[in-house]
Amino acid sequence: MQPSRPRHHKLAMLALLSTLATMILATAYSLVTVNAKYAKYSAPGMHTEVWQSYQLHSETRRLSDTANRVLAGEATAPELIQRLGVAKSQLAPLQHTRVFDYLPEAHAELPETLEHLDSLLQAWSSRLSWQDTSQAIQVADEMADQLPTMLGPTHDIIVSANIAVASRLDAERHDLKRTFQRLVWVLLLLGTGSLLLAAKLFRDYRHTLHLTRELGTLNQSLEERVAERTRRLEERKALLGIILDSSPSDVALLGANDQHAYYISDTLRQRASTNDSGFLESLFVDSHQYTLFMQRLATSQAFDNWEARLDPRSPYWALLSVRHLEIDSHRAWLIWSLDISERKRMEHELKQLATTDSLTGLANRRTFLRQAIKQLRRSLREANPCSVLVIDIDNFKRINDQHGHQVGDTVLQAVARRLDKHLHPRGPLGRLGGEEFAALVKDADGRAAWEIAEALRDDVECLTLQGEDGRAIPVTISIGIATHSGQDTSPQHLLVEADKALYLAKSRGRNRCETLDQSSPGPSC
Amino acid sequence: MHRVITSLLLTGLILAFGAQAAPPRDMPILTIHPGAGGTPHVLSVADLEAYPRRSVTGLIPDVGDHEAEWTGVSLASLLQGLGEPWPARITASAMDSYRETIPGSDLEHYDPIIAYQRNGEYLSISQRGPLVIMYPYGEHPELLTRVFFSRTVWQLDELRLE
Repeated sequence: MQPSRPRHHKLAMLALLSTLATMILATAYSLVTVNAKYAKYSAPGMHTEVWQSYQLHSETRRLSDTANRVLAGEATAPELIQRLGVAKSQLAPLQHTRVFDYLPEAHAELPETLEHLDSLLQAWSSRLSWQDTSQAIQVADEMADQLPTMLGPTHDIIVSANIAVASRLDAERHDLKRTFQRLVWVLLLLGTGSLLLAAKLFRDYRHTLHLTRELGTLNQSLEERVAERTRRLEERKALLGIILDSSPSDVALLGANDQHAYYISDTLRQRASTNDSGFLESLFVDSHQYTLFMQRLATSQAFDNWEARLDPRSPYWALLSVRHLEIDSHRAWLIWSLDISERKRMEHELKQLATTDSLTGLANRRTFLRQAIKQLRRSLREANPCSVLVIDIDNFKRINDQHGHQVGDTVLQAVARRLDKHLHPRGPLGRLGGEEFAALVKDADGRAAWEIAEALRDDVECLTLQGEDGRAIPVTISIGIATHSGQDTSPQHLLVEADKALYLAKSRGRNRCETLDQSSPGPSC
Repeated sequence: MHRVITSLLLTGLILAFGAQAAPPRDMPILTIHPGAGGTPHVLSVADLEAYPRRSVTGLIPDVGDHEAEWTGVSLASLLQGLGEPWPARITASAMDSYRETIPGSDLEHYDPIIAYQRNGEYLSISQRGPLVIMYPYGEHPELLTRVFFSRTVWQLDELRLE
């Protein structure tokens, strides 16, 4: 069925076109016909042959009468010439008219009569002159003789002319009738064609109307669907907005090529100094960190847990996660930033707690040992000397007992401050426990270590601390020194050596430095 | 044969005596009857030629005549010249007893002439002369109707004024 429809349409179109062509041809034919008739009937009709015939007949009689009057001496040559002229003028049109062709049967005697009369009139007129009366009488005599015989034939001309004119009029009527008949057919054809065209127009109009309605319905449903879809998208967008806004993470969606900002969450927006292509750079505190981040962006499709310090105005630690996306066929970066300042702070705090002695603020035993091992290895590697000091507050138990733990703690803190002041820049320092401290002094051989220890001991001895009762509390320390001198050794070993030296110092009266190393300077305190 | 010789002879005679020629120009040929007991005016072609000439383009209808320049005297100015009052109508008669009435208004609207020359030639009676009432058909194509054809009186010999 499908292919027959176009063919059907084609045929209908062909029929329509041929109808139109026929209508145009018929109209053209009608125009030509009507125009011809118009031209014909523009000039007044010339059916005067009956009158002319009657006039010829009358003139023949009048000429005959005038001839008789000339013969009777009642008329003159000019009168005869005048009548003859009139008669000749009556004859001429009848000789040239084609009206007698319309006679149903040819009247053979007609042309003969006309010719005969013409020859008579010619002959007579040639013989007459305006002044010659005698010649006029002669001619008049002939006229009086001949003309009466012409009255019968000229009467016949009237009869023939009458029939001929009637026939001609009828022929013309017939012709006109045929023309009108043809015009009627043409008009019928035009009317039918117009009806067909009108029907076609009406059908097309209804079809168009139908199509328009359908199109309208389709359009409306499409619009509704689009509106519904838009609404859903809006809802989704709003939902996404809510999710993003309520997320603890900040989000930025940036074009990969030009860092065009598709989306930047509010907090992040406030933190950056600019929101155009320099957004990301302005966000980083450290430009080196930014460079590293950009390198990572260029090489990885996705990465998480990148720690960075953001917001140069009030820096904080952020954990960055990145995903590569494609938006409208452009590459883009989705960057999540989680504020981990609090975590960092807590981490730092925990680290502090884990590595530091809370009372003195010095490293605890474990941390000290770790740092000491590290430093010792370094010194070994670099073949530098280094010494370990083990420091113990003399008679601390007695201070505690006499003044209470509170004062004991104060003493510990005061001593720790002195230790820190003397030893901190020189290497790891820590509280081993109780009133015992230890330090590793890098780049210090036995002599140097001894001098440092002595200075320290001296400084502590000069401390003036007061108990709650206002009495001065004398504080002294004993120091055991062990120096690493190139042999393979361990911190523990050095500590044990230093501990032994400390024990020696205690046993030799306290407030003094001791070393087991014989090459070191002797006791001086 | 006899007829041919006769015609040839006749043609020769026509040329010799001019019998076919127009009537003598001084021959009285037109009678104008004023209304109600006035004295008739009898005029020759020469009398008419004494008046100012007027030319119109026209033709004698129904006889196969073609358009030509007709010269004569304006009917209106002729009557004025003769001292006749403006007529309500004029009855024009011809030598062949034809007659037709011309309304006085025609004189005003179309100023027809009494023509004595066609294309500069005087006319014989057999050529429907010597005088013809001619309307200016060339100037006024609307005159090409039977009404004015009837008023185009040829072989004019009498005018009656009313």
